[in-house]
Amino acid sequence: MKSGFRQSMAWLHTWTGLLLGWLLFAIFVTGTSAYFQEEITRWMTPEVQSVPADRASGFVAATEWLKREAPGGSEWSIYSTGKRAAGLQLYWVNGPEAPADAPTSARLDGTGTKVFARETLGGWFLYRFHYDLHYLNWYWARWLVGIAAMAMLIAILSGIVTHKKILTDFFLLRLGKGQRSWLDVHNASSVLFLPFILMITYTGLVSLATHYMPWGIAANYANQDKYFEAAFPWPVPAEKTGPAPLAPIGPIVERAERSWGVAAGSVRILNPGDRSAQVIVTSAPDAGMSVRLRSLTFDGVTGVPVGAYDPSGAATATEGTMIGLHAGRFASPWLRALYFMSGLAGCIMVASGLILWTVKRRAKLPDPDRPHFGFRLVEKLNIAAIAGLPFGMAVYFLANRLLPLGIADRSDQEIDTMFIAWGAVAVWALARPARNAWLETLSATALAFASVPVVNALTTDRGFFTSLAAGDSVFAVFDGAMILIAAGFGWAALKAARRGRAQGGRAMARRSPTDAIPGVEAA
Amino acid sequence: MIHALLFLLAFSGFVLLCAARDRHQRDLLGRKLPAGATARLRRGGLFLLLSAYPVAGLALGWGYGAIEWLGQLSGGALLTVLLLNRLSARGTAGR
Repeated sequence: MKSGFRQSMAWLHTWTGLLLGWLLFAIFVTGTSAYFQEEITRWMTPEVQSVPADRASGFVAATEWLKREAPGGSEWSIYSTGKRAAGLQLYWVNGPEAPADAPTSARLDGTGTKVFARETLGGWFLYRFHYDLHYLNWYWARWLVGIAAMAMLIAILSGIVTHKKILTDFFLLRLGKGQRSWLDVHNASSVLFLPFILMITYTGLVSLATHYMPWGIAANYANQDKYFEAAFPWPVPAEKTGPAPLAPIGPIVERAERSWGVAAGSVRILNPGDRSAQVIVTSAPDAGMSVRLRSLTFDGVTGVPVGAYDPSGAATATEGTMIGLHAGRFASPWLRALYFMSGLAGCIMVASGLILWTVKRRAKLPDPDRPHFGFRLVEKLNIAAIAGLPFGMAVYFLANRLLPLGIADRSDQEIDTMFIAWGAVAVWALARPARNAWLETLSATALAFASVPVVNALTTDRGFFTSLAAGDSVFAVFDGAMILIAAGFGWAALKAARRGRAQGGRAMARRSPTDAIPGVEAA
Repeated sequence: MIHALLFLLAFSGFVLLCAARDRHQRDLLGRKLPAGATARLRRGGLFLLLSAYPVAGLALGWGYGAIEWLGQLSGGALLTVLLLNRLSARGTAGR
């Protein structure tokens, strides 16, 4: 009976993994890139020279800027972009006397000077894609992503059961041995990183739990809006009662920071310059493990605290900490690097699992030169996903540098370019024999990534060597990472070329059944 | 500094555990060890891996420490596996 159970788990592992594997690969790749979301955005806005500044003085400078540029506004919001980007993002609501097309947002550097940057969604788009997808209603996209995450959880648990020798084979990685090597890579990338992979899948589901299971809300709140009001309070400006000067922001922010012991991340000012003014200071998202933030409300004229919001209930704290673990906003550079490496392991786990499906079945095909439709489909979808998405991302970075700066909807065009490139790889994979398509698409991806630092050096004054000399670590590391990724895909292309030649040779020799691939183990 | 120390503890712990495996001893050490030495290696390896948690907890706080500890364990295990792969490839070529 035991082997029966294991076999049914192996079946479950194979088919849940395959069916949602392509979507999971995309979620893992873009999600992994999101650990460096701020850095990607900084690279994609080369006009912004980051000026380090402490956050409290940034909030003061931003308030002064808003007093000058949006004096009649009913609401000002100032978000610090966090310790990794040292900038400020401002949003405001204009008063009734402002023209309808007056601006309502601006980006300031750490010193409070407005910066002009190209229109791009930067790393935020890739982050957003990993749970909301694109060209698709976000409501249904989240259901799709949730189904994929649930399949992932099933695949992990059934995979642990299926893997007979987790401890015995813990250190085993045999390369250059065909199917066995694919199995070893699949096992090593999942077993060595199992804490991360379990955590990221489970907490990913938790982060959208109220989307998938609204019944808890339905039982306790009159409607969804009431729940969101309670969980994420968002006070609105009151009726204006007459002018009064705004209290100095510096001491208010300092007082909030002292009472929490962590940095402030954003300041909202309702009815600035009015007697009814309120200042709401919220803690920084990268200052603690939980993503649920605390806030303090102050009277905007006297600067006296008038209210506090502290989401410290056990359930909220648990949920917030789980989502915090998933997003890793608190992570130091070292821990961030570990997060990123673990994410890459997840990508390799999914990709090697997808490839393993075809490698295992190829040996058993009645006629390997003319595989059946299902096999061909999987093979081509594998190429479209594993080479296609990274190619699209490289093109996204290239489009950021090459699209003209003044065109309308520039950020949307960058995104469209990424999907056109991804789609082109998919079409190419469909049109070409799989063996050639692997070689060609992997080579194209390597070339695309390798050209990113080149194009960066040609189109900006922040090329790799300039950045290195200037000690600009974000730009230097980004360009360096592009070269490393290019090298990785180049290596994969080389392997594909060698395998193609070896298979060509074997096809000629395949006359007797004696040269069936040895050591094929059911897994 | 603490990050490098944690990585070193994780890596050396996994190297000892790996050396405690009969099938990897030839690749890693060039010879088979007696049973007593193998058991000592296993205990030593486990001790290093487990002792890294209190070190991480004391230096980084118990919550953050736990996350970093698990991450460093994965990193240490990965380097051990890659090292073993290189050594065994060289062993096969030399033999």
